[in-house]
Amino acid sequence: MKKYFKVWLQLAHISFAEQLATRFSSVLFLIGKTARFVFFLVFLFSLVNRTGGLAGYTKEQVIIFFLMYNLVDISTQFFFRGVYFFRQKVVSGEFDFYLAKPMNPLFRIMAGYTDFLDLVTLAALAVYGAWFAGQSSIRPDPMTAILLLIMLAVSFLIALAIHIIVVAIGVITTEVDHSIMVYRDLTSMARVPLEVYSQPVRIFLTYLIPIGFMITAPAKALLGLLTPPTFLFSLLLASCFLFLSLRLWRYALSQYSSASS
Amino acid sequence: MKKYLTLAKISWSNGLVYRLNFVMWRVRLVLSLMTAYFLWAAVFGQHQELFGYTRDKMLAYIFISWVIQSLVLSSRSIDLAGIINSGDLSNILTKPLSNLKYWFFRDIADKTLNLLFSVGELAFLFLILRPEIAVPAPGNLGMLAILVLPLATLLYYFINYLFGLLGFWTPQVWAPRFLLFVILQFVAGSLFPLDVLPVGLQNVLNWTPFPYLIYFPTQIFLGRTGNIGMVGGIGLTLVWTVIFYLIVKLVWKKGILVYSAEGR
Amino acid sequence: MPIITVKNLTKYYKIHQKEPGLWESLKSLVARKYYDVKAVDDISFEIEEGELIGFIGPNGAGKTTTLKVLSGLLYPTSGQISVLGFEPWKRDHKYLKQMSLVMGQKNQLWWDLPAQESFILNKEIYEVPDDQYKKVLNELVELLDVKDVLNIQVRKLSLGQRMKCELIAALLHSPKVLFLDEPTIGLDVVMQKAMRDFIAEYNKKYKATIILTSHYMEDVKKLAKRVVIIDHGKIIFDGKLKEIIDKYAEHKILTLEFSEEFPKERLEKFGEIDSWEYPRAVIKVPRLEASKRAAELLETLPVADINIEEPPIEAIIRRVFSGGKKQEAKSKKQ
Repeated sequence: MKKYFKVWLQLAHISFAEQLATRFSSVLFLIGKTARFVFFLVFLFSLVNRTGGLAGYTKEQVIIFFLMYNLVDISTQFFFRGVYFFRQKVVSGEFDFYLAKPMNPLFRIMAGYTDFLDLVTLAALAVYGAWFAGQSSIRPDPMTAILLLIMLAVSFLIALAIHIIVVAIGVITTEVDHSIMVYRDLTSMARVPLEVYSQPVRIFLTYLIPIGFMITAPAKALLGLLTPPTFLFSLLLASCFLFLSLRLWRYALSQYSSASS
Repeated sequence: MKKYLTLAKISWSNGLVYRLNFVMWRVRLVLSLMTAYFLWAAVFGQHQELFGYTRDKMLAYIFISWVIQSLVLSSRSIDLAGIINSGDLSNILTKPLSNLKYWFFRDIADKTLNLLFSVGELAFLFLILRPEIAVPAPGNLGMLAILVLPLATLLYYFINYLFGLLGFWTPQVWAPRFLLFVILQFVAGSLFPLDVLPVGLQNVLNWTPFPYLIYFPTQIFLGRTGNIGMVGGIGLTLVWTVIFYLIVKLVWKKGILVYSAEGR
Repeated sequence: MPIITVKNLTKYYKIHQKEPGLWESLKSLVARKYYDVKAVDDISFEIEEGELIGFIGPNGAGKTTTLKVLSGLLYPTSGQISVLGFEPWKRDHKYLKQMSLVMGQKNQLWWDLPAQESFILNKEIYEVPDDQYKKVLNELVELLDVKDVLNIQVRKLSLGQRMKCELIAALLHSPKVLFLDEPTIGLDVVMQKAMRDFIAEYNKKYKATIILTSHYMEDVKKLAKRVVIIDHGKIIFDGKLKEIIDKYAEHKILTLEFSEEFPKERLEKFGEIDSWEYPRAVIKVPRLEASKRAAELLETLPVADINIEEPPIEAIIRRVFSGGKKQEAKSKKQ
């Protein structure tokens, strides 16, 4: 366990050094990501100020959904950013080195490119979120807080499972970028409460590819809208999904034929 | 002229080779359309009129802006910065070709393909969703309305090309591009019409070229601009296009001087 | 009337210095320190129509930079250049239609399409009339023997086939001036020979003016009668290959085969011994004395066979370079 932490720290350090070397880009990326958040927030505010709510939720709740989306999205990106660079590793054959080392290759793949600037964004998000929540009528009690933390953990596990699946597909077909992009597009659909979408779409996003669940469940927990059945279901869903993803990963490894030059 | 048409043709063939890429791109575009559609359908669930739009007009906006987007915003010029950095620009420079025209005609091939698919997908979606949307009505100056599309296409081409030229000075072009992309996503008016935003913000945005890429053309086709508004807006689009054309010419001249033709 | 004139060409590159360390990085955000690299330093030469010239020099000598300036890619820092009556960097389309630049490792063919498609594109770009296109294409395809690969995706071709197709694409418009930058780099021995034979043939048949850069001596030996040697951005030598040999080769090499053994000292008085292993020996003798000493050897030693050769060009050129360095060192001291 300690070894993994140390390796992760070193990888992150390298990644950070690279960012220093490309300061200009890194700053622009930071600005870009912040802009993306601010723009959509402005849009959302403009929208719900006029409409008073959306799909049965109040103004405040809609914003909370959006803030939760960002929290989950940025945190998962923080931990799994390596997936975005994976294709290159497979094609170049570097992946073979990962397999040959005494370390879980999944860890190396996903945790190898941590972007510390995401911590900046996360901190800013936390500050704003706290301010907004303080202003709102939301008063979480200890029970809600615990539920929230559990659901965040569940989200994390689902995200982990999805990323493992993406990586597994990448190993079999070397097609990573498309799966990841589709994943991002689907998650961005959850910037607003899922009730916005028609039934078939909602079912698809909740049960088939539990992205919607992953994003909105923590928000629901915070807002006290989580029902016991949903809660239990989410635990079940997360564990099944994770289990499936690991099986897929093992299958992918067995099918792997390394890249020739 | 013939050489550029041949170029477009060969670019088209080349594009078809990367079928999977293209299909996935279309999938993502359709997803974004669905997101916008459902969002606005839900928003109008409770309300009759918002931001000056009725439900059918808003949905019409979403669909029309989506089609316009596939014409105006699709592009191959993203390659330009990479080509400069790898030194492959030399292949174009040593031939009797204008780099500006070269990438434009490659883009034309890409835009044509995307436009065709958009129309097809739209027809398909209409069959499934059967949305009630307002019929576009450009009004009397119908001919003039069409003019806005090539202008918007050129405007975006020059902006995009400009970002490609950054390649002369740095290999790290992805970051500025990302910023442009983020800005375009919200300011050009593809997810929502700019009327949603506070008036103060709209006024600021009207001083930038971005609304003239998608928002303004869509407004023309929805018949919401009125004749004076349309002519005025097209005039402004023309002004922006010329401005960016001049900037591009200037930056190109400077860039060529620093070009080292290196890189492998 | 020379077809290419270069007068006092100089080209600097501006490289900015990167100091390590956080403080330096921050400083460089505000004020960058640049220093100049002289890639080409005041060179001049003239080339007549139909000549085939070899530019040789070590890596970084300035050969490629010179070609890039001549083809209009780079803007000269100072100097006057005229090719076919044009100033290359103006990139007049009329000029570009008459010249061609081939860079060893760079591709211009569209990777995912058959070479044929790239050919047609070039035909349109250079506005080659239909019948001329057909004629030239057929001739080139014959010469290079690639008739069967034209309709295969370029990415599926072997390196040799690809190079040949790249050449065809570059020559479809029958350029009057051809710049070849390291054309044989990365190719196997067989391909290198094929490439050289083709270039020689093309020069003879179409009377095109060809400048070829290389750091392989074989290329120069086989192709160029006139050679320009560049080092550190300066021209060290410009003239016939034969002249280099005459000027810089101080020795001739005698390879001897003996019919019976004898003490080494007997051979030593004839010249410097390079190798001594019965029955063969190799000695270096001063050029002017070569025949005389050979005759003496034949009389006094049990020679079964004798061969008189020039030293390898590589050795000569190396001498030229180190001679150049000595000149620099001398002038620096002054």
